[in-house]
Parts: sequence; structure tokens; C-alpha cells
Amino acid sequence: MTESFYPDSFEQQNKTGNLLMPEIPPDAMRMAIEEITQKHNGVLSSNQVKSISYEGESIGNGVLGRFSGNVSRVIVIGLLELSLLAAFPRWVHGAEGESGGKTERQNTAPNSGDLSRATEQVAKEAIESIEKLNDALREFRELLEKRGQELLDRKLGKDSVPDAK
Amino acid sequence: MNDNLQKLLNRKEVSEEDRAFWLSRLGDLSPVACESILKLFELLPDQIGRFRIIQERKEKALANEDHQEWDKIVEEEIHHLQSLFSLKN
Repeated sequence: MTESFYPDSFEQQNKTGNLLMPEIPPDAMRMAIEEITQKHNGVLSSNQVKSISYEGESIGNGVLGRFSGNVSRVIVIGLLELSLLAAFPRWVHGAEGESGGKTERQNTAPNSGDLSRATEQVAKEAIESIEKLNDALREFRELLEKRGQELLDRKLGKDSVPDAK
Repeated sequence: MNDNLQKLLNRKEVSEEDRAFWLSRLGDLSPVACESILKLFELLPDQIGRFRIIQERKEKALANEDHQEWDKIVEEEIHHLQSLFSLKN
């Protein structure tokens, strides 16, 4: 569960030339994003899913062809996880009390009972959001791996074996 | 607090503003959850500030479901990466 997704440090892999991790096809990114957001239904709107999926495919088509192995993997997973992070409701709604002033309260001071209940609720929501985000990011990478491998296997199968209908 | 995050953000090329921003976004996440983002920062440490600017724009565009802005961000992101790596290679 807490195992690293990258077995060696990036520098180490660079030095040893051990850049053998398979590339991730652009389709796999879209599939993983759609799947993970479906699973966490309600976390992202369908428009947000579309936007992030579009980013995944665009990065895949526009950047990844230039690199192989771990560099492309770091770029694509890092950027897409940043987007999932950007979309997360705690930032969108300021659930954590972001310093943008969105959650500033009116001058009318609530009584201490209301305040502590409200604080408790905000804290509870923040913890739930963080847990969801932790799960979503971890599951996203696992799905990306799985779907990427499936697509590659299918491609290899197609290339070597004639299509048996 | 995630040690790797702290180490990365303590680098001298990371401004106070960038440090505060990323700590507020990543500080609560588990080390495994933010590992890929940290790897990206590790790969391009001098771009941490640039990533902050992109991230702020992404947050706004997604919150407003602003497709035009999102498309612009993605396009710029890709061009930026392409130019960075063609310089590096």
C-alpha cells in the first residue's frame, strides 16, 4: 500500500540507464481518468472529466512521443495528478479555508456552539476530501498501469497474431 | 509531513510563495499519493514556480468549467514542455 510506484529514484535510473518502464498510450490516460472519476462519482463534474481527459490525450500526442520510459511516465502522471488535484472540491469550494477570501465570514459573530459545530464539520469534510484524493491518486496510477499494459498487450497481439474473429 | 516534499521545497530555487502554495496543496497528502507530482518536480526543479502558475490557472478554469481557458492552458503546457526538453536534449 505504501510501496513506491517508482522502484528506484529517478536519478538512479538515469545514471544506470534503466529506463525500461513501458510507455503509456494516450488512450490509457483517457480511460484511466474516466474510470477513476466514475468510481469517485460526484467528485468531478463530467465537464471536468472531459477537460482532464483532453489534457491526457494531448500530452500523450504532443509530448510523450519524444521520450521513452520513465521520463514520459513522470511527465504524464505528474501533470495529470496535478490536474486531478486542481479539480478537487476542497480547492474549488475552499473547504480548507483557502486564502482567497472565498470562505470569509460575515461580521455577525456566531455563538460558540455554532462555531464549534461548523469547525467540526469543515474539519470532517477536509479529512474526507483528503482521504478521497489520496485514494483517487493511488487508484489512478494503478489503473493507468493496468489499462496501459492492456492496450500494449492488445497491440502486440494484433501485430503478431492475425485477427481470429 | 512528507520528507521528500519538504526537501524539494527547501531547495534554494524555490521561492517562499511557491513553497507556501505547494505545501498547502500537497502537505496533507500521503507520500504515495503525491509521489508522481514530486517526481515531476524532481525532474524539473527550476519549473516549480511555473507549475504553481499553471496550477492556479487550472484550479480556476476547472472551477469555472472554462473550456477555452483549459484548452489554452493545455496547449501552453505542451509547448512549454516541448521547448524545455528540446533545450535539454
